[in-house]
Amino acid sequence: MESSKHKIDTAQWVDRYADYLFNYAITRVNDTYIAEELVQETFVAGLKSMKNFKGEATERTWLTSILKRKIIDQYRKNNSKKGQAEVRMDYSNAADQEGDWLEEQVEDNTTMNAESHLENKELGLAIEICLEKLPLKQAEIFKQKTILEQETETICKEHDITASNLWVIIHRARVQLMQCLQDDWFKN
Amino acid sequence: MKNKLFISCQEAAHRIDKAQYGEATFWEKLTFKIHNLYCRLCHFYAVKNKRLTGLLKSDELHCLTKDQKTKMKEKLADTTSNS
Repeated sequence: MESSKHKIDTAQWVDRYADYLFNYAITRVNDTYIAEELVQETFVAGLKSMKNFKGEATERTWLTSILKRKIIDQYRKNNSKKGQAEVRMDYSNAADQEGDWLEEQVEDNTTMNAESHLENKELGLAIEICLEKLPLKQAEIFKQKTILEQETETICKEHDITASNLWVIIHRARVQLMQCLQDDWFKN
Repeated sequence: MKNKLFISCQEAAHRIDKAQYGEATFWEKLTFKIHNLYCRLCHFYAVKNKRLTGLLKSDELHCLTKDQKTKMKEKLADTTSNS
């Protein structure tokens, strides 16, 4: 299907953007099932609002902005279920009530790693953007082998290629990925 | 000859890739390591390749399986036909 003003190829959406959007969602909702649902909803919402796509941004950016709204809705839904955040405190004895008890009780052990976690998130998305630049089949085989860690034989059967072909594809993908990350990620 | 000790850069590159997935045999590892001793280009390729593997193995990289994508495509097709 194509929009009237700007050419949008919805048939390619899943192959081109699903993994990027899934990565984006999963790092924000930390739930595989919800992330998948959000990506699906994003595509459906994209289809319904295709007329609003002005072509000022790329399709990926546009779909990501839809996904962001879906994620916010998800947070709202979760919060309305929970009512409010809880901080549980257990006092076993009087000594617990002295000193820095509050800080200890609500201590966020993840804060220390927040920066590196954020960097990893960005790196994950940067890798996805680089993978988008590869030819579709090459990217698919590379992901199956590297991210999903499928057996060489399984991938070869699925794509009807020989093991040598597979290693050539993997090699080309790795070289392009290295170059892309060198240009886009490490230079920044 | 299949089991030759000195290999070309192309063969070395493939063996370096295979090693990143734990699929290189002892002989393959030995031959590319010997090759890397005298070939700086392949040596740097091996270093960069190892670094790439490290980046790719971070927990922040996920992707959907083929089945999940197929289901998504079907749902999208349904939505398109219903609208």
